[in-house]
Amino acid sequence: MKLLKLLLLPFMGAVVAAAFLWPEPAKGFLGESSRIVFFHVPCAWTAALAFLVAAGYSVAWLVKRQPHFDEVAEAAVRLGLLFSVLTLVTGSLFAKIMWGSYWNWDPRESSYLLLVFLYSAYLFLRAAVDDPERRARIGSAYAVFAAVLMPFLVFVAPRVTASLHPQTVINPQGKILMDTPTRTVFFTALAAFTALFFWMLEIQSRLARLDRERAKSARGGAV
Amino acid sequence: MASARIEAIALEKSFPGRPLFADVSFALDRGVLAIVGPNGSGKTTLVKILAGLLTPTAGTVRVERDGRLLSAEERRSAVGWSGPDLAFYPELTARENLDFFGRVAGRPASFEDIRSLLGGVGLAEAGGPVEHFSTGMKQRLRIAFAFLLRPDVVLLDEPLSGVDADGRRAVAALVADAARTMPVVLAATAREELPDATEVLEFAGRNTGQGKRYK
Amino acid sequence: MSERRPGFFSRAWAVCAKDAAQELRRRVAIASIFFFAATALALVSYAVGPFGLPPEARSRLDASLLWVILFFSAATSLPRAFVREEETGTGLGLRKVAPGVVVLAGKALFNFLLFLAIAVLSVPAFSVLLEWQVRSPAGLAAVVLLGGWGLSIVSTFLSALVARAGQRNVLFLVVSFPLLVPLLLPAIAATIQASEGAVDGTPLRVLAAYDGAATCAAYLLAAVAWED
Repeated sequence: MKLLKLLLLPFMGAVVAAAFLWPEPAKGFLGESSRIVFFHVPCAWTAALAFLVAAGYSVAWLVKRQPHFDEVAEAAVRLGLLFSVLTLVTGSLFAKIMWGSYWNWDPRESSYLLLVFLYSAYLFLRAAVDDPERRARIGSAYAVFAAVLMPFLVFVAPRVTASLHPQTVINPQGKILMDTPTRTVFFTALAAFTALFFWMLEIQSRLARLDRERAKSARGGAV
Repeated sequence: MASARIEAIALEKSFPGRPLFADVSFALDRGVLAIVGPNGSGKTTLVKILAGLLTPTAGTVRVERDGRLLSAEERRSAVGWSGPDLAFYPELTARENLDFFGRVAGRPASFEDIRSLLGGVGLAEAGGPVEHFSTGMKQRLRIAFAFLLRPDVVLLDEPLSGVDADGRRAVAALVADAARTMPVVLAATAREELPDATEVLEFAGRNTGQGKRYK
Repeated sequence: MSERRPGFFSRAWAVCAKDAAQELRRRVAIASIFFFAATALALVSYAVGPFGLPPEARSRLDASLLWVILFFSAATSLPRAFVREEETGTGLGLRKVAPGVVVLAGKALFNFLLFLAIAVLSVPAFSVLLEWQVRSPAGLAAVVLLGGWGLSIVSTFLSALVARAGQRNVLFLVVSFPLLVPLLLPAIAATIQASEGAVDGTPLRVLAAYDGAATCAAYLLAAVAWED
């Protein structure tokens, strides 16, 4: 396990280098801007993955009521917030290059803005509750409720109104229309970001557990 | 006539950094159990746990009717409870409040039932919205609430606080009457505050982490 | 004495009726909602007027403005469903005798009826003040009903979550906004269709699906939100 974590750094480095050096820029995009797909899409994917992880662990907490599950859920949300902000930033850079403005209220980009609001709302809600048991319960209930409504946020709402967003980037018919170098780097980047996410998640939740155990022993072992 | 029993098994409650009580056990078929202890000793929390309003950190509460264990949903109406932080809807009258609670519990009480219930606590003449009630009148209404759903077990926390002599007599009569056929649990800071009890459970003080184990 | 035990709906109805009785007696809260709606309408009508918008943009803008007015009028009262029970201390008695689903259903129903009351008054007024034409009244009725229910069930559930936290009013807006946008967008789209007369059913189906999902989720999570 530790070996894998150590390898993550050079792996990520290789992905970044390859993203800039190996594939040719895609047709129909200005200059080198299509390279953003190697960063923007994995960030978006990771942000959505974080949400699923948070929702899953929230359900687990509601069933089992073990503090660890709640800690992972919260860590996942924090990371989800990070990655969705990164998605918006990379997306805005691309938008500026392609269409001349950072933000267009495009449904797809707006849905990620809403994800940012959603994650922030979860953290805000938790911050407003003092009792840890109640905090976990209310946070979990909100996460699960939001998870049920999320498909509407991310998939349906953008489709009900027209969109500027490149049709699932370089992929209009649902077929992989990328050339081999692009495809290789793209999927590798996806894997790298996913690995990064789980590594960060593990660190964050471990930190939270250590905090909890330290607080417990400071109280003399009482629950 | 149904016979009921309430049993506490190794109840423990603690909040983060603050143990309240542990290893509290008792069983009661009929008669009065008085829980006595200073403020903050955990009496109200214990009564709420018995009533199903709070979950204990450890241990269980069993309520039986005719030897059959009642489910959590059945306990809602089988266990009557009143406590100092029970409040009523200020815009509604006493009768409307009780009528509402009866309906939402799925056991609507008839006009006659509510009238005799209010009469039993000395509120028969009380009209007007509850927001105009005195402390004593509100306390009497709390007692009425505890008996509203024709319970098999009654839990009264601070039953006599703020009540005048007439009210105390009325409440004591109600408790004595109930205690003949069902378990009644009372809680207060001082022994003198409570109508005659068959058994007493003493809570020793703040954060002792140990209630007196009682059988 | 054998009696038919009242079922779920009559218990929920008792909660709804009680909330209504409280609001009608207080009058301040109900009045302020309608006053808000009236003020918003007057403001929009004054600023925009029946002819202040370019014709191509009109149906989109009118539909959006209508939902802004409806949503914010309702938002002045939606969070209070559960919050007030906690503030006055009556939540304890209610929690003693009723399970979460009953209380949630009753309060969601009350909020829904309140929303409908706001809509019934605001929509005709809006139509008159802004010369807003609705070619498909049935389509509009469908949006108001579906949109109103979605708004009510989500807001009522969130009100239950927020009721036991601090900073409740701001918190409610923060937690409800991201979840209500996927409701408001199709509602506006469906309203545009209803006003133009070209109802194709897609946004209405989205609303119905949203309502179904939200209702199921709220039903399943009601007990969790209600416990102490």
